Amino acid sequence: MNPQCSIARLECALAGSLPADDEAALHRHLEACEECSAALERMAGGPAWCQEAAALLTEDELDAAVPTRGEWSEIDFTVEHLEPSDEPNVLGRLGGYDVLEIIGHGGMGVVLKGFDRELKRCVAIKVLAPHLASSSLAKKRFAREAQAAAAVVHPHVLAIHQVQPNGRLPFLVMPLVCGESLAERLTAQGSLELKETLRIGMQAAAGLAAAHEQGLVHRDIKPANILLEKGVERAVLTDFGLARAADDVTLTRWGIVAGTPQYMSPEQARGEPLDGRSDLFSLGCVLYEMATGASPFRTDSMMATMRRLVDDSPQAMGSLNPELPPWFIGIVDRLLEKDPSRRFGSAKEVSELLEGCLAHVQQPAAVPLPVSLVPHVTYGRWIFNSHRKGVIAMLGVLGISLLGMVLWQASEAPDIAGKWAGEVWGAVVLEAKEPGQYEGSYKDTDHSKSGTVHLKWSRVERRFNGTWAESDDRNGKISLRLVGDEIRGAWTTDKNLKTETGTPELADLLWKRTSDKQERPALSKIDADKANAETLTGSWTLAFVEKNGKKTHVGSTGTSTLNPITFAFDGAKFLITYPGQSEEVSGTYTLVVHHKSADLDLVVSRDTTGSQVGEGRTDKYLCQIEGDTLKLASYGLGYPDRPKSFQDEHMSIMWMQRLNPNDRKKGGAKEAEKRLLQIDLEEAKAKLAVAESRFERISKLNAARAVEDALLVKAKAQLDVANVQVERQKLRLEAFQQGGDTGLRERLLNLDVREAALKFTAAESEYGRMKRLRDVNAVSEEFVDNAKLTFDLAKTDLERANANLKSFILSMQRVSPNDVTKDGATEQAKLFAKVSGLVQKVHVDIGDHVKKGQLLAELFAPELDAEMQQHAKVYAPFDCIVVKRNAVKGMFVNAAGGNAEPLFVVVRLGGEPKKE
Amino acid sequence: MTPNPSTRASLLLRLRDPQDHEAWLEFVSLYEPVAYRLLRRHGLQDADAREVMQELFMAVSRSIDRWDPAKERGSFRGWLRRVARNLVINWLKQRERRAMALGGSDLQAMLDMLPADAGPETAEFEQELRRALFQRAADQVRGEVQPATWQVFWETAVVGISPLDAAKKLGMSVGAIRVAKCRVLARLQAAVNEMEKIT
Repeated sequence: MNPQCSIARLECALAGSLPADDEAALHRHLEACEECSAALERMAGGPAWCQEAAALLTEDELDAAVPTRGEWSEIDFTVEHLEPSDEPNVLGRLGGYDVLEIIGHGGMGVVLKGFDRELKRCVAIKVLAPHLASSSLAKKRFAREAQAAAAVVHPHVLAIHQVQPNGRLPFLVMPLVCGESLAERLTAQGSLELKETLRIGMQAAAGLAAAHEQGLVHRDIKPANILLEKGVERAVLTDFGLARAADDVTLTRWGIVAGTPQYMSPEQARGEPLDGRSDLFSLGCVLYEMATGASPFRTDSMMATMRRLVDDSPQAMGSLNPELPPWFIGIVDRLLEKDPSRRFGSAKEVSELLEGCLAHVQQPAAVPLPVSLVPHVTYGRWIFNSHRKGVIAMLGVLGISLLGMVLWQASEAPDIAGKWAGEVWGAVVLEAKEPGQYEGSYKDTDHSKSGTVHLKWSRVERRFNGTWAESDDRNGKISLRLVGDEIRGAWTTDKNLKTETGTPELADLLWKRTSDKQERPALSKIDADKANAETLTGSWTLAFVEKNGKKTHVGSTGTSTLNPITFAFDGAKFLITYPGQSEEVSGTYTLVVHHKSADLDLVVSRDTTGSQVGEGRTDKYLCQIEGDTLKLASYGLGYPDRPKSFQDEHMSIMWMQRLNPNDRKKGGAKEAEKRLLQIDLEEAKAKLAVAESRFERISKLNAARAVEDALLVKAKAQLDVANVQVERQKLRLEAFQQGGDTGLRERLLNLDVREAALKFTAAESEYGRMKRLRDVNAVSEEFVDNAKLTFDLAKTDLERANANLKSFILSMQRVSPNDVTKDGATEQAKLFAKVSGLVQKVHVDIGDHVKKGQLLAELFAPELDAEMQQHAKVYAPFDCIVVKRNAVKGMFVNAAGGNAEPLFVVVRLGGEPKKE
Repeated sequence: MTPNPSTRASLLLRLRDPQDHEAWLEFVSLYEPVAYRLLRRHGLQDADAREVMQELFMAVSRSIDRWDPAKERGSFRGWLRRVARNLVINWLKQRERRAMALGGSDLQAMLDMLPADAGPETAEFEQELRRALFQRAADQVRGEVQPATWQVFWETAVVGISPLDAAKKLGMSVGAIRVAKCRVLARLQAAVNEMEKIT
């Protein structure tokens, strides 16, 4: 036998333990030696083994059909935890019921069919999904929600017999409804008859009304959650508030949405606080689908659907089902309004309305349509005769009491006196001759045309109508109205003239007020942000409200005089007080600068009032500050785009005056601001305490292996964030008391970065966890999408926080390099650090002669990125001697300004520095 | 999920511990394709096969603690087959009752086709199980070797290209091809044998 043939060598080769050279040699050997090749094969199991492996690993057609593993994890977990039963045909026992079979499998968990031996009836038992069941937070919410839902007793709400929130398998017991869900019926039939649509809609709305009365918001109204009981044709709402229990565990912290996207309301999609009107939107989607067979906002992806329901109008119902009466379409359109305040006020209202409609449809001759639907003027759209909220709603938002309010009446002529300018007309001047009557002249210098204008206010039409005349043979009619700061309208040229006039018969008109104001220089964004934030800060009084040019004083009547209502803004929270009354309203706000215009947006959230339905509202205002005057105009989701200025005639503008600027320094306002800051700090501390105890609890549970590590990581992240928040509030209070300081501002920005980084890491790991759960089919793709969305948002926030910090530091650059200060005759210069950080290296010592530009010390500022690190160096400004050195390796230094110590003190060596 | 031969107890023993969630998952993921394929082979449609499979695992989970290896003659597999058989019979009878109106003439044929306690059907079950074990082992081994090595094995052993062609295709020497293929085969054998012991 060839000495090269070694069994041992083959064995090592199979185990993979041959060194590389030997292995290469073996390869060469095998190509020549048949015996060794055969031996190798034998040692690996032989040809029969190889054939078997090949056969069994080749996929056949059945392999493709084998169901995936994941469906089991929830079901078998559930079944495993049932108590055993000796009865035949019984899977197990749970809470005193016999569990007969598995009915279904939804997002929240598994639904079982149970049998109550005492009452001898079947029930449906809904069991909380395992990945939720391990979270005590979810269990608590589950319990609370279920208990609240159980309190709703109504023929159109699925009752809850029993709740068991404890134990490894929390569950709910509900009656077993024999019938199908609306989703199933729609799948089978497509669309429904009008009568059926109205009936089901009415019943669902009635159920909603009962629940809303209890303070519950459903949040997940969809056809699958509306059961249709067989025989009695009764619609029953189910799955109440349970969507929330699922939310809070995995999702809410950084604002993710929950619910089926295609029936979601726009405010839900935006992650904003909800109330019962959100359910009304979803109900509108359901009505739409019942009537047309298609849901209004369905697309392929969840994200696209959400965008559509926030921005777009659905396809007109009439085009899908031409037989739908216009009043029905009007109802659905109103339910589908993007702005909740434009929808119906309550589910009760909707239910009663639909009831009236149903009665009419069943007996058209005998029963008329409900009064509010009787057609009212204009533009093909059904206008409801109910009272629109307008000003009252807007002021109501800010908590202004409706009692004792003085309101204006519409249809008085707005004031259009003054100078205007427009195309073709040139410069226009109008004067009020009598109330509602104006006379004026116009001069178009470009074309040397001029003439006169007469206008009269028409109460009926709510416009100005009149005539214009240029000369004897050129004149015509003019009609216009005031819209914010502009006059819009149309004008005609009279036809019965013999001469060619050169002007069109009918043309549009647009005049803008002319002002002497200069263009404001464009502020850099940071400066603008800072400037505006600071100028808003302080106390204001509400002077009056303007609408359509008409101004009215508003106040609270504590006594018989009008006392101004006071608003205090402190940078993050606002407070409204009513002198003479004890009521006050507070909330948080942020200012957002728009790139395109110099206008600001004020976004305001009211604090929760304790009621579950109105969980706090978010409202947006256009905001403009000029000196000591503040203008706020409410706009909301109803506006497709943010309005460009204070123009829209539907807008109500609040005018506020700054409380005497000198007063700002004294007592009153300052105290209020300080108090707000203290409230913030207490709030942050309270939240920290909650986060700490939560973390402790979860640590214990994790140690006992009752919850997974990922949840522990999350709790820690939340704890870290809570700590950052407390630090931030402390800093803010400090800043306020010291009167503002750049060092503090930098620290605040650093805290922002830290917080954003914490949230980012948490979002990242949550995303990973969702993906893992999805891979074992414990959650649906939606959860992964949600997590990814949060992750992306957290990433952007982190980038932004870093950018803010960076630009702030860069702005410090403008001070001067190394912040040299001269000190008397000896030209001693103190050198400060530009950024805060740890001293990493010191290159010079006392008595050293250094050259201009020489590196003296290096700092390490951990929050800065690579580009900014170069600013963490301190250089000699000129040739000099180091006289005093404060910089010590490892010490922390503050950036120039405020309390910073100089790092070096140097003495310039005589004469001018050499010119390079 | 990689089994460590020296410390693992038999999967079946572990199944009797209701706290051992992982064991259950492993068991299910292994036997799932086995059950499904067998049921399909015996004429059940996809939906029915899934339903029966679900009930089968329910039944196993309920009665696993009643299986005493000392008392029962034969192996766990035998027991499993018996449970499955009873279950399928019950299920088919139930379905027949429900579908009385529709005829159900093929029921008897199905019942006839059901495996008895021994005979060729046993072999079929064993075959399916071995197949499942192989696939599990393949997953495991694939994770343990270099991707190139696995590819060699796949191409030469399963797809069936000759070593010479494989050498050209993958840019390796014929000797290297041979060693890689055999290495994987050897590991597979070891893994499968190990799994056989504990299932």
